[in-house]
Parts: sequence; C-alpha cells; structure tokens
Amino acid sequence: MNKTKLLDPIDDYMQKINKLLPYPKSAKNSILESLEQDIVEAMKDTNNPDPVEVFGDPYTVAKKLSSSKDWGTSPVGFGIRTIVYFIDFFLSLMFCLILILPAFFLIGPHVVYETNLIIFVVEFFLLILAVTSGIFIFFCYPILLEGLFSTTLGKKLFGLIVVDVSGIRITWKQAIIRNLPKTQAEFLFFDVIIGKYIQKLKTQRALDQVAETLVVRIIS
Amino acid sequence: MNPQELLQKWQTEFKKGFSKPLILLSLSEGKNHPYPLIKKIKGLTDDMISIAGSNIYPMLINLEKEGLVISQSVEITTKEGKTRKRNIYELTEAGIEFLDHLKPSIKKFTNVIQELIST
Repeated sequence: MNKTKLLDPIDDYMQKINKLLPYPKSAKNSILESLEQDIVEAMKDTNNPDPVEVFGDPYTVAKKLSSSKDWGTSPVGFGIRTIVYFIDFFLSLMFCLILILPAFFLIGPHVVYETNLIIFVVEFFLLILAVTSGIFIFFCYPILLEGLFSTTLGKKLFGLIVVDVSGIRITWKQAIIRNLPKTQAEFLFFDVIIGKYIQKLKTQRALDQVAETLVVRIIS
Repeated sequence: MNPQELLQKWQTEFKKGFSKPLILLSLSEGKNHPYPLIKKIKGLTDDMISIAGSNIYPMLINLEKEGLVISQSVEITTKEGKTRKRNIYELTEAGIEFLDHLKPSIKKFTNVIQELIST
C-alpha cells in the first residue's frame, strides 16, 4: 500500500483528536503519538486507508481516551469562578463599549442633523450595527470564547478551562446551554443555588449539569 | 428481535467482561504496545474476542490506575525515519499477584456455567 496515501488521513484524524483535547502538549503528546503508531499499524494490518473505519470516529476515540485519563486537572469552586465572572463581565462590557461609544460620538451627532437621506440611512445603519454588535459581544462573549477556545480571558488568567464531563472540548451547544444564565445576574445566582442543591459534582452549576460540562484548572 | 441479532448482542455483552482479564493474561506473556495486544488477544481467542482500537486505551489506563499494569513511554523510529513516542505496558508485581488469584476464580466460574449448560 502507498504510504504517502496512508499518512494524510492519519494526520487529519490525529489533528481532529488533538483538537478535541484542550490540554497542554506536554500532557497529551505521549499518548497521542502512541495512539498514532497503533492506528498506522492497524491500518497496515487491515489494509484499510480509512482510520475512522479502523479505529472509530475521532470524537468517540477522544472521549474514550479522555474519560479514563488523568489530565492533571482539578475542579474549580465557585469562589474563584465568581471573581472570573466579574472579570469577564467587565471585559465584555469594555468590548461592548469600545464598539458602541466611538460610533455614538462619531456618527451620533451627524445622524441627528443629517439632511441627506442616503447619508442618514448609511450613518443610521452603521450606528445600529455598532450597537447590535456591542450588545452581541456583551451577551455572546463567553459563548464565543468557550465555543472556540474552551476558555474566556478571565478564565485564562486563572488557568481555567471548560470541558465536557469526559474531559474533551465542549461543543457549541454545550457552550450556549451553560452560558444562558449569564445574560442575567439573578439567573446565574439561582443557577448556582439550584446547582448546589441538585449537585452531582460539587462545582457544577445547574446548567453545567444539563450541559454536562465542568470548569477545571490545569495543574500540570 | 431476531434470535441471531439478540445472540450477537448478548455475546458482545459477555465478551466485554473477559476483556480486562485477557489483557492481563496477554501481558503475563510479556510487555506489549496497545495495538499488538489487541492482535494477540484476537489470536489467543481464535478471533472470538476482538477489542476495538479505541477501547483498549481506556482499559489499559484503568488497569494502570488500579496498579495492575504500568506503562512506559519508549522512543521508536518509524519507517519514515521519524522519532515517535509509544507506550508499552507490562504487569506490575500487584498485577502478577492479582492474576494468580483471578485465574482460579475465572476457572471456577466457567466450570459452574459449563455444568449448568450441559445439564
């Protein structure tokens, strides 16, 4: 069998598994390199060029690998997460204002006194765009960052990441579910209280339990 | 459900229970990498028990957590000339001792089942 044809799907396959494991290279490289060698051997043995058929889909492999492995993480309590929440709150507010304020000061006065209809429509549209983008960033900041990078800037400061209960990277759906109560501080308060009441794990909010997510600190 | 389909489902279920003991038995013959271990188990059981590639890792990690096996990361050079790390597993002293207790236990269990089936 042609080896170069074999290597490309493996690289792609390994990249997918690697992406699903949001841990430092030092923690995952050894197991991933070992896994890669086993996959190469299995593909040669079965004469099958598709690693998915030989070893299973990357999501399942990553999940099985992750759920049993100790990644050197520890769950994070609500104390630190409250501090992180306020840091992220002010950061998202700042990003929101960075988008909205210049638009207000630069375009706002023009719109009020603009007599040309076309310019008025363009300026009004830009103003609305800035405001909606600002509001979008304010509310979607944790969803976007957690969906993309499994962490937010506040969490990053404290070395925290959000993971699926199996330890793999969270999906967009999970990021949306767990961040829903952050739109209103009082929802978040009840989310924590209910979470503590029905707790499966001490550090999960109620919607963390629904989304099957965990906030952990990477120790090593 | 079709009896054949049901039989296949039941077979999968009871075979699962033998996976970990078979890993220990295979490792008692010498240290090995995960995939060659799968092949060995398949050979030892006349293709009756085939552990999926993605399943051997959690099993080995769990056995390691239980202190029955130990892994070592060794550097190997691939045919393409790249240096890669590969995990090799072997039984610990506790694993060897546990296997000595496990073997008669499985034997007793299978004998009872065999007697039940033949009556």
